[in-house]
Amino acid sequence: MINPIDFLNQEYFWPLVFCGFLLWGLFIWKEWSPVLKLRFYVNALIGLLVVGSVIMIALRPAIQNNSSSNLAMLLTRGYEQNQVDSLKEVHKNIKIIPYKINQPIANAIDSVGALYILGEGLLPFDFWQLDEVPAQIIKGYTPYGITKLSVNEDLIVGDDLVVRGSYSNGHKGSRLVLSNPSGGGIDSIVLNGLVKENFKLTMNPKVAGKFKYTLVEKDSLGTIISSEPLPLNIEGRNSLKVLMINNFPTFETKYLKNYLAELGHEVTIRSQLTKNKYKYEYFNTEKQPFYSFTEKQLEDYDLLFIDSESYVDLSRNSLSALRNSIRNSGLGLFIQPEASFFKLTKERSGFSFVPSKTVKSGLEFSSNAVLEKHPYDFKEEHGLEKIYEYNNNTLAAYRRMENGRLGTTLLQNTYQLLLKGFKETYEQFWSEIISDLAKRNYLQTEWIKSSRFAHQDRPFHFKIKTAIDNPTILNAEGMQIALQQDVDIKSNWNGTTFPTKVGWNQLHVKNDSLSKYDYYVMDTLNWKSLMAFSTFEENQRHFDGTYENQDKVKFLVPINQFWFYLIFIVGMGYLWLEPKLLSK
Amino acid sequence: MIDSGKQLVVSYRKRWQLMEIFSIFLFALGPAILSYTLKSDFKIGLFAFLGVAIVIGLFRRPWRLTLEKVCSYIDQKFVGVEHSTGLLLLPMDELSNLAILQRYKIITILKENIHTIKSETNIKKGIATLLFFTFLSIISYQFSINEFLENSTNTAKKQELVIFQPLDSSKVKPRQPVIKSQKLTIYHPAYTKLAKTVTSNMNIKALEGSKLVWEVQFDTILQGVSIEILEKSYPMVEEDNEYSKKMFLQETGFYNFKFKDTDEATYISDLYVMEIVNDESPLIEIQGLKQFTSFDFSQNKVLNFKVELSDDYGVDDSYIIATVTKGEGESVKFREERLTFDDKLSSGRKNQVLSKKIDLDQMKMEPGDELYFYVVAIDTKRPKVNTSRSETYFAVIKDTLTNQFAVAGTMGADLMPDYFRSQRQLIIDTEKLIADQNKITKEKFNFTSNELGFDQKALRLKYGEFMGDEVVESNKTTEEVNGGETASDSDPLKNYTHDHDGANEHNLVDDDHSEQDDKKSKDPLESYLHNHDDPEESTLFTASLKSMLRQAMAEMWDAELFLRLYTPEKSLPFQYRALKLIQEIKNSARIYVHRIGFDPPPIKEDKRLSGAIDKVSSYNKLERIGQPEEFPFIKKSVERLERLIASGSIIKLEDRDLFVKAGNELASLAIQEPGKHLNTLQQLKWISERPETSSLQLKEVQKGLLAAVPNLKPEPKITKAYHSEINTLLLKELELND
Repeated sequence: MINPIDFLNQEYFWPLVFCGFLLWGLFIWKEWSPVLKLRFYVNALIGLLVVGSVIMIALRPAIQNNSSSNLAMLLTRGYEQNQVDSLKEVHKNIKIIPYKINQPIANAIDSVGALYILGEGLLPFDFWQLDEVPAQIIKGYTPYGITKLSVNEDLIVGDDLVVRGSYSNGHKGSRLVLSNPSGGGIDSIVLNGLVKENFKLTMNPKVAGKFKYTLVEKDSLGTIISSEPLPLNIEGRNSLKVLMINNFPTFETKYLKNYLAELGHEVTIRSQLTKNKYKYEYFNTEKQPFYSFTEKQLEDYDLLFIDSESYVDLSRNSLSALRNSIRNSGLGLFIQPEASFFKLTKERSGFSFVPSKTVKSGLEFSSNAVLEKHPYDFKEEHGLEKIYEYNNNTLAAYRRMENGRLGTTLLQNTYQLLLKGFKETYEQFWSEIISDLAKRNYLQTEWIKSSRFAHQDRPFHFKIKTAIDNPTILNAEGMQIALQQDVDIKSNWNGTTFPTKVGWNQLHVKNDSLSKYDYYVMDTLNWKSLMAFSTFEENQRHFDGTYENQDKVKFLVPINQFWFYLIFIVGMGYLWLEPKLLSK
Repeated sequence: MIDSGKQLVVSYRKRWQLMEIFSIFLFALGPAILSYTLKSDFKIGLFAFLGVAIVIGLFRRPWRLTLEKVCSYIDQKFVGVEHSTGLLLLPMDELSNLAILQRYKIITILKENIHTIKSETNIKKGIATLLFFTFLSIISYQFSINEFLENSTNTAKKQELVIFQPLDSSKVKPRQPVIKSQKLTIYHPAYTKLAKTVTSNMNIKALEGSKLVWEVQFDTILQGVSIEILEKSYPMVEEDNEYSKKMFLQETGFYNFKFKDTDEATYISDLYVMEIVNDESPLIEIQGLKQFTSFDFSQNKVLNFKVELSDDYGVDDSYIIATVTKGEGESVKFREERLTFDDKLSSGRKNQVLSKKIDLDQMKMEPGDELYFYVVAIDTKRPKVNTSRSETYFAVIKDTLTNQFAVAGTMGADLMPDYFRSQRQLIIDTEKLIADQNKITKEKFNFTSNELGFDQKALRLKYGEFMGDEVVESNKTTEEVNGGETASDSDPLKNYTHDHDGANEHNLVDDDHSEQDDKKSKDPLESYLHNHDDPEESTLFTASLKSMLRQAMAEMWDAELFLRLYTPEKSLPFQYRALKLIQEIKNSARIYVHRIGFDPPPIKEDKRLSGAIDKVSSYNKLERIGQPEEFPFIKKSVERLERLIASGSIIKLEDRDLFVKAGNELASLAIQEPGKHLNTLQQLKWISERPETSSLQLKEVQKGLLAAVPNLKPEPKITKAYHSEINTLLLKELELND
């Protein structure tokens, strides 16, 4: 690429060029002789060079240049001195600029042609300061401590919480302990001191509420090296409303009912005794007999268990009411299969089955339990969501029907787990299926945090998805937080807040008491290593050397006058000496 | 002069003894001084002095110093006496003249020199010991070792003492009221015959119904003292500045003391356990008896056994409950008796062994009767006694009659022996033989036919047994019809029979009676005659059954005859008839079973299978079986504590209420595992009573409470979801394109 040459004295360009040509013309005229020999042409050329260099001296040309003379390095937290030394050795005049968070560096980088960033990099909100300067982050930053972390945020009491992450350059023999709010250890691992090692810690919260769990690093002697908060908002359990319809009383329903009712869920069972005679059982709920389904009746229930015979016998009206209820209100439907169910068309059953020879199956989460199975397999197809698998065979699955879900299982007589003493396995089996199928608790507003943690006096980015038009978000102090609507999806809004108080904070939608979001604001000293690593990654993405800002800057370097003077002197010297030396 | 010699030695001995006592005194004085300086207690000093003095005194024994010993000592120590001091002790008249002379000489020498002879005493050592101990005492006094010792002993003492802590530190006086004395008297229930227990340890572990009396004395005047048990508060009665409270131990739990001083400051004590120990039921061990004993009628039918009874507070009474059953099935009769032991039971003793002899004859038991018995023991607990009973033991007198096969016994299950079936087998074999007639040689045919005839005979004899016929030895009754062969002497059928062909193949019948049988069964038809006069005729069967069986046997007889004549085809009709009759006999037995069984009420024909369901009605069942959440207040407290710790705010009144409820929940756990939860319970008590607490303490409580919450069961849950237009559109689209 040819860089256009600029002249510092651009305004004199044309007069000077004119004068130059005039001067050169004069020179040619002086040299003019009737016989044009080679000497004439050489002298004319040299004359042109001399005049040209004089003009150049006057015009002061400059070129765009990545001259190394104006390099600088920005030292951010975590830089290494040997990197500084190496850079200094390569670029003698490199300028060193220290980085201070949220401090303007415009003055320091004013005359800088290009910038190296050392260490973890700038915080994202300082990126704008380097918009005008080509900058590149130097690789080779060594992180220490926890560099990655993943925690499931939506937690219900009794669910397993899994904390995964990776730890870089730990001390061999140190322990990473997941502690409960009062400091009691729950789960721990011993570090091997590798450059990067992954860890997984699990716990099962027993009490609902907003708690500050901690991830503590202890050395081999038990001294606490660091303690990082892990705020969790653990929600309580809600009871489900379950309806069970059976053609005749079965053991499967009986045990399932006992299990659910003992946990306090509202269970209604209708089992047929004989024609038009039913046995109604109501557990933890009010009496409400019914004979056929209507959408209104089904509205209250979260999940419907129905045996396949009853399902097949449903009247056209009942079936359409049931389907509408699934589609619109999100009712879950679980079909307790019988042999005939597997022969139904896909339109009716919702699933396709293929015959199979296996009639027994284990469960992946319980090594000893063996259950009877219908001699069919689920046909793998689009839209089939698996709940349980065993040896790559789907045992229980569901299919989404708009908002609701329709599920079934190939296993039969699961109550035998209870009889054989696998109580926990039985409970686990059904709780998973029921949780997957049951009607969701639909929220008006969904909150998604864009920042990993909220730190005091640092921006906290969040996103909401809401059906509310023009929502207004207020913080705990009642201040309104400005929102930015997503360009493409109208229900998505982005916002940023700057929490000032350490501890649990709350954001809520004005006029909607249910739509609130609790988040924990911590000190900026917490999760330093994690934040540093994510800053570094963000810097790497932003200052990877390929960004456009590399070219944006025009910085003109005047060509050194020395060269023009040299050409002038040599040229003039030649012209002066030439007649004396050669004309003898 | 004569006595003066002896007198010298005696006075010397006296001096010696005095010196000895003095040295003992010196030895003992040192430790006494030291212990006095260490303990600052005169009694301990005196005790140490006496102790050491007695020990050394017993060791040295100054009173055992005899004159002989003194003399020999003087002889050793003083050369001038020329080993003749012994002469001084001897009576004059026993001495020779020379000896008397010597004696005089010695006396004079001794008189002058006896003061110079030093007795063998440890005065110097004693003084050195005294000095050493005095030195130690001075050092210990100087470095206040005594205080150190005193402290350690005092703390040991203080641990017993109830320690009170002020609830509100702002009101605390520089000097808190201190307990001067505390006493807990446990009056055990009267039946235990235990003396009352007096202790200063406030943790109670006693029998239910024990009476507890607390007596506490303070050094200052107080406004009121009370005992708090769980949520309830019981004020203590004041009397002469001594507070007391009487109570009966009713339930396991925890309690603490609380008092208010005159400046309105409230103090509470640590928690103490109040645990009920249950009185154990008596243990019964029966020795020398098997669970099941059976006697033959002729045996000496006596059960002899010993019973060992033990109980933690004494057995009050014990007896045997015996039940005699007579008869079987429907007609069984029971007779219950209460038997006492042969030995007299001494009520209230903790362990005793009683013996019992049960004579079944005295119990008026007859063959076939059974005796069931067990031992009951009652302990002394009042008002509600603990009763325990042993396992049940059985004794049976074998019935001489029932040990036989009875057709009536074939109630539901078919218990008939295989013989009844073999008639069918015989028919099958006979038919097979007829079918194979052309294929086999004549000899073989005849042989097989004869063998079948033997089998037929064996079968007939078996039926004869059921009829009450005597068993007939086969070789005696078999008519040898095989003309071609001569019968061997021993067993003419030996060649045709397998060794298991005999009538007695399973050794069911003894072989010994062949002689008698021979005589009796002279007339082979005798038993098949319809002879009513014969008392032997009474068999197990009714007349029709019996006649039928007899008829069947007659048929068998004929069948056998034709088989023996090698004409099986002629024999077959008889065999069929015999089979039919046997079937009828079997069925008649079955009908008998049905008749004594359940007689269903007659069903009206028009009602049967009509399908009328108008009487069937729908059924409704409403139930609340949801188990309440476990430890709700503990869980709430954990959550509340988290907020309190985070915000650093003050504990409010409702929080205290919450903590008290959580404390009650925790107390139930703490009783089972005090080591785990008692400390938390104590601290929970503190924070629920005190207005100010440190966050460290709250954290400690939270930790303890969290540890008390059990793990949750897997439970279905409702997950959250967001309902958005775009999602719905996408799902609809997906379903359409499915």
